[in-house]
Amino acid sequence: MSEPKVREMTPEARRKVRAFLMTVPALAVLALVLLAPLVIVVARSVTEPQPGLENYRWFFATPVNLTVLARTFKVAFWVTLLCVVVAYPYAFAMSVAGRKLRLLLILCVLVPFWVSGVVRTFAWVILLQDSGLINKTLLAMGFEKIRLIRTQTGVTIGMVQILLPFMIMPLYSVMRGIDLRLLLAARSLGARPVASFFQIYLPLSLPGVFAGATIVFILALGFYITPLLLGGASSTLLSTLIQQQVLSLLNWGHGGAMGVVLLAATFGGLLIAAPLMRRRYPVTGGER
Amino acid sequence: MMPLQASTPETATRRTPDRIPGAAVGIDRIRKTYGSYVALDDVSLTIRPGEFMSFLGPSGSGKTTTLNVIAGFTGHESGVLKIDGREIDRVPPHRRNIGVVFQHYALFPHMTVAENIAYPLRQRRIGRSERHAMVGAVLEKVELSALAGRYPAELSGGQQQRVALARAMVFAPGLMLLDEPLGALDKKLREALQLEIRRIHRELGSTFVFVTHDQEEALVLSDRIAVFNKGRIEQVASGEELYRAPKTLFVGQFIGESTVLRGPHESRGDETALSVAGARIRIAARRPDAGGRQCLLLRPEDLRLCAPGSTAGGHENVVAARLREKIYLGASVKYEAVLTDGTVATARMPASGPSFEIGAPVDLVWSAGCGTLLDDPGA
Amino acid sequence: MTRTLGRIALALVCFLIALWLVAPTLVIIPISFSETQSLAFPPTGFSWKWYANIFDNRAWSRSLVTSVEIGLIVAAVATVLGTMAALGLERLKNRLGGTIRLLLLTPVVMPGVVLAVGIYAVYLNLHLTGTWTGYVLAHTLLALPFVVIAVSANLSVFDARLEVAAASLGASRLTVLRTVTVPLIAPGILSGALFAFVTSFDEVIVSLFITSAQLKTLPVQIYASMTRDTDPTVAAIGTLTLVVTTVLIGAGLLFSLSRGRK
Repeated sequence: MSEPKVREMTPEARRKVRAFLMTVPALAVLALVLLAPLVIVVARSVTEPQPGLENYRWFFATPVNLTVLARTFKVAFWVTLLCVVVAYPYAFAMSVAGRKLRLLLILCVLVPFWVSGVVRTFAWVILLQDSGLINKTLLAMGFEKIRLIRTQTGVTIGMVQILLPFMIMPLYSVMRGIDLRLLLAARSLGARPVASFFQIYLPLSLPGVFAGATIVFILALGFYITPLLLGGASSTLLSTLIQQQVLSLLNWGHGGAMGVVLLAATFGGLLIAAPLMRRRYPVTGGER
Repeated sequence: MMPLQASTPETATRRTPDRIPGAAVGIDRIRKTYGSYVALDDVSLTIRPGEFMSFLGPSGSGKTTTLNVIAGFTGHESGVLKIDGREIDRVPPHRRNIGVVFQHYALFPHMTVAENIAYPLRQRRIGRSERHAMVGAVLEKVELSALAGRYPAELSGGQQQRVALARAMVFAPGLMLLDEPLGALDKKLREALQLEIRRIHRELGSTFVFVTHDQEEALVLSDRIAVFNKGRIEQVASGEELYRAPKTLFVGQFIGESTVLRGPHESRGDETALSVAGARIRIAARRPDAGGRQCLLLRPEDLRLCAPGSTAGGHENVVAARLREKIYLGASVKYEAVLTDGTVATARMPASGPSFEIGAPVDLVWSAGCGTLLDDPGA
Repeated sequence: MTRTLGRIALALVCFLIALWLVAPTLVIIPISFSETQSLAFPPTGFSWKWYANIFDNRAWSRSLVTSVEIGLIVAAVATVLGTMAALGLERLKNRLGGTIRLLLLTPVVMPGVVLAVGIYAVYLNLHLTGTWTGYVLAHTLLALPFVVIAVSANLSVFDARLEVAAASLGASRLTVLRTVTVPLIAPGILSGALFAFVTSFDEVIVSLFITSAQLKTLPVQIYASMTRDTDPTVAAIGTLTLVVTTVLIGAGLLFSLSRGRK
């Protein structure tokens, strides 16, 4: 962008150009370590070893791949559902609690972030192993030992705990904005407590549910470390397969095709969820 | 048209009645505390069927708490609450069949105007077509038919208020509770809506309880006003009675403008005398039970301003003062004068009468029959 | 009656959830003092040897130092780039601005392994695997969204009229930026920098792909140790970071409390 050319423009246009220039360094990083990598992944999926859609044909013709793909979706779905169910009462309590209790509840959500994700997975190994804390507690209570480590259940328990804050926070921020007097209004108009919850509170909190669920679902689809360390061969997810194709088998074509499938699932999920996160009704405007 | 039975969720009225018999409310020694704070200190009150009753008082005086107790939103420790003679302390809010209009309307933001108003009808399992007709009728009553499909956020404050009103009355409750419904609106709109609420009350026939901290609003709307102060009801009476014959100094000072004269008193025969700012004031009233300190509460129109020394006294009281403020109000002029003991007196005289200038010495004159003799709690 | 029952149930459920959130983090503390090289819980004996191991064992100490250094560089780079971008976007309120904002946020939702595979391919061509530049670039990409979000959130409540006022008082554009804008959005910049450091310090997936024997970050070292054998040093590292964060956050809270009291 040459200076004289900038000078010829209106002040408004000049401001816009200057504003755009400020985002250029960040965009350059994006181009180098986001765009270029994606282009390579997509390109290799259709060129290696030879041009064509052979890699995709292979992906969808191999039963193992389809099993893992289905499992990846299944795990992401269950993790998301569990997160919603667990986060909902917690976020609700946060939104109605007094100042001190709320601070404590928020603290409990944030503490897991104080140690890194790998360390937290390490902690789950300690808890879930056959002689771990959970099994010892079960034995002490007179139950039978259950196998958790290297199982789908173990992976799910760990993933839900790690992803729970991403569900709680958006839900909380929506719930905090819900006027609790609306529930009193509903009661005074003849609604039983259960009805007032399902007809008033739940619909008003749905944007938060969808926002949190979308984030959790997408992050769960791409989970790598936790399934790898807590799961076994029977709980391999798509990310692990991709890593195997590229690093162990050096098959960039297969790995690339799998990557594109995972990307498509992720952004497809986002596209489907985007309208759900929007409120169907206006929330501002009018004289207040 | 025959008056119809007020609907309960079980026996819903099948159409909007033109007139509903108002419910009688009996509040008997209701007490509510928050820890050591006494929100309601044995409040007792009877509200007559069809009456327009206002709860008036400063914030924190217990008026909204009383409303919440009637609506069933707040539990109380002791006392009995009756509607039409039936004890309802244990009836949950959704079965009390009371229409409530909230301070900030509490309209459901995810429902249209029509859906909001249909909500109580849906709870009462009223059929679709009937519901439609009832919503249409009540929308007409509040003149909002054109906005049925709008969402609350798309309405002005006054329109939201009318929707809240329509929603509370569509199921024809015998009792309507309104919690400062006009508080968020500007003065002009507030006055217009006051008249509308009065009209609706007249047409509907149900009992209205209206919470406000605005005495003018209470005077405009109410048949009777209950004045709240510190968790107690100080007096329940018509606006005129509260103004002319307040029972406590708080009521006298809260309603309208007033001048309070304080000083040592003595009772003799049918008269009481008060020594104020060096003058001896005679009051044609006696309170045999009066102990402790007494004070005299005068209204601005009781007082007359005269040039110093121009009145002989006789049957009238005269106190010297200096004029501090003069406010022209159109038909009348309001004067503020300071007595020698620092008391500020407020007088209102016709604008057509004699005029006085700020800073001038004046005589305050009133007849011994004027004013109210009251206990003086602030010793 | 039912109301209080509901409250008790809610309190109980929330307590269990809070426990679930916090317990796994706290379980590493006793393990870090174990006397034996096992992850059995409760651990036997008491020793500081896993803490000593962090500093004695070159693999642990070097990866720790590397991670801190990379984290600091990433925090600096990502904060500068992210703040600039956020300031630009605030003034670019059109479709182009919206698209750029969306682009800058995509790294958050990118499946880690796909991104890692792609970055690995690019780095193989550019000879960036196992280099400082490589780590910093990749971590900066992942940290940028958080800086942009934090600074933008601060800018949206920031009164743009103050900038106009400063300009009308004769301040040049750069002076306005330095004396008015930046100080006012400092909290956003600071939390953005913190997020950037934490993102880099925690990043493991991309690092696993671009790592080398010479330059390893801490999460990679932890991951490697976990796949190899059971090593309570991981617990010691985790406890150490937990203590450091707790102290930092506690100090921050005390600081903001004492400032708020003024």
